[in-house]
Amino acid sequence: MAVGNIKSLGSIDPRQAYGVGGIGDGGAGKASFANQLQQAIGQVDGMQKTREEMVDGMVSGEVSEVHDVMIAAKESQMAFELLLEVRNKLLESYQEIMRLQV
Amino acid sequence: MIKTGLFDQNHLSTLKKAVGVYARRHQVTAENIANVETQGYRAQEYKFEEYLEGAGRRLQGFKTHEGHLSLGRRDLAGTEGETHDAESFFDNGVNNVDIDKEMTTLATNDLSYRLATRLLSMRYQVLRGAIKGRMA
Amino acid sequence: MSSGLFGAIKTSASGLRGQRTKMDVVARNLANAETTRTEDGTPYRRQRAIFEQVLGDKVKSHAGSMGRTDGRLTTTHRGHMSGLNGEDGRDAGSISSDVGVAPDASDFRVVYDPGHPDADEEGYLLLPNVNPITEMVDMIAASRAYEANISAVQSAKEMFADALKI
Repeated sequence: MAVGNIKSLGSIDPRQAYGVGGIGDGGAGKASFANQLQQAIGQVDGMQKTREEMVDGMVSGEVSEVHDVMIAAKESQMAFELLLEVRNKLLESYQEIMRLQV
Repeated sequence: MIKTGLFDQNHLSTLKKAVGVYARRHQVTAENIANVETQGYRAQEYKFEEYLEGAGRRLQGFKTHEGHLSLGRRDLAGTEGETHDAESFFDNGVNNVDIDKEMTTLATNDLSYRLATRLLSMRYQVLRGAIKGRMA
Repeated sequence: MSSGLFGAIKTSASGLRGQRTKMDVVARNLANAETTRTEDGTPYRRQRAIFEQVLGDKVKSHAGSMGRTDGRLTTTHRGHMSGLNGEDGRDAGSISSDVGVAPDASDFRVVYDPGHPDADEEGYLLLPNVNPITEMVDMIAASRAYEANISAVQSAKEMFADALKI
């Protein structure tokens, strides 16, 4: 179900963010994670825009359905929350790494 | 990743589709009711479920109509509904609008819409819980 | 704002207007069922509410190709329903009903009543072509249709409210 998909986000290797890629990965790991994050941010941004358009349309009397507006609002909010959680987790792991005695 | 992974899930797409269907059907029903005494008016209906039933019987890699059926699975979200003439022979004295049938459709459709939106919001709640790592 | 649930409410509202007009017409007919002399000297003539389809702009051009340029399928004598024509911004593609009020062309009733002040030289009296039973049947039908449109509006409102909870 959808929950499985969220778990699969965990398969994004956070180590890659810090250039500590897998064996043989080299610096490529960092790039691909940054890429994914960039894409995700872009998508969240896109969803926010869709939500804005829906609201504008509703106010100006063009857009049709109340449920479409509510769905767009809800999904863009959730996408943003997801991004926020990802960011928080990244921060946590960063802090953990910093705490490690080298 | 987010958009295609999270919000295109089968059940979510189905619910979103259903909500649209019920809203459209309400419009059509309201129009029939408003025109119950209009000379020359032909009762309309919004068909959707009929298109699904046919699709369900033809599984296993047999695509009957582009956009109607996905291989091996009933593609509810991909099916489109249509507004047709009801082709009913009912005569209420002025046209073929059967007010009792319309009232029934109105009521069941209303409830279906409300159920679908309720299920949709519940599903979003579960997703939000999964995102935050606890029940929202 | 005429698509979606709002559009449906507008459609229902137009239905409500129509049924209200019909009920007004019935009331007027009943009130004048025995009026033997109006301002122009003739008996009261029964009026009827006629429902016609009014086409939205999108369909108007199609109607034009059928030889009608006013966007209406039929024409009736316009009663007190001005402002509901297709020109005032009715949504493209919507079909709703408009009500016109037209006189009923059937004959007046003839009754022999020489004592009546409005009777003619031979003692015959012309009475309005109003049949109270017909009027009551119309009234019941109109009232039922009115209630149905109210139900449609109620449904739309409830559906809208539930959608807000998504």
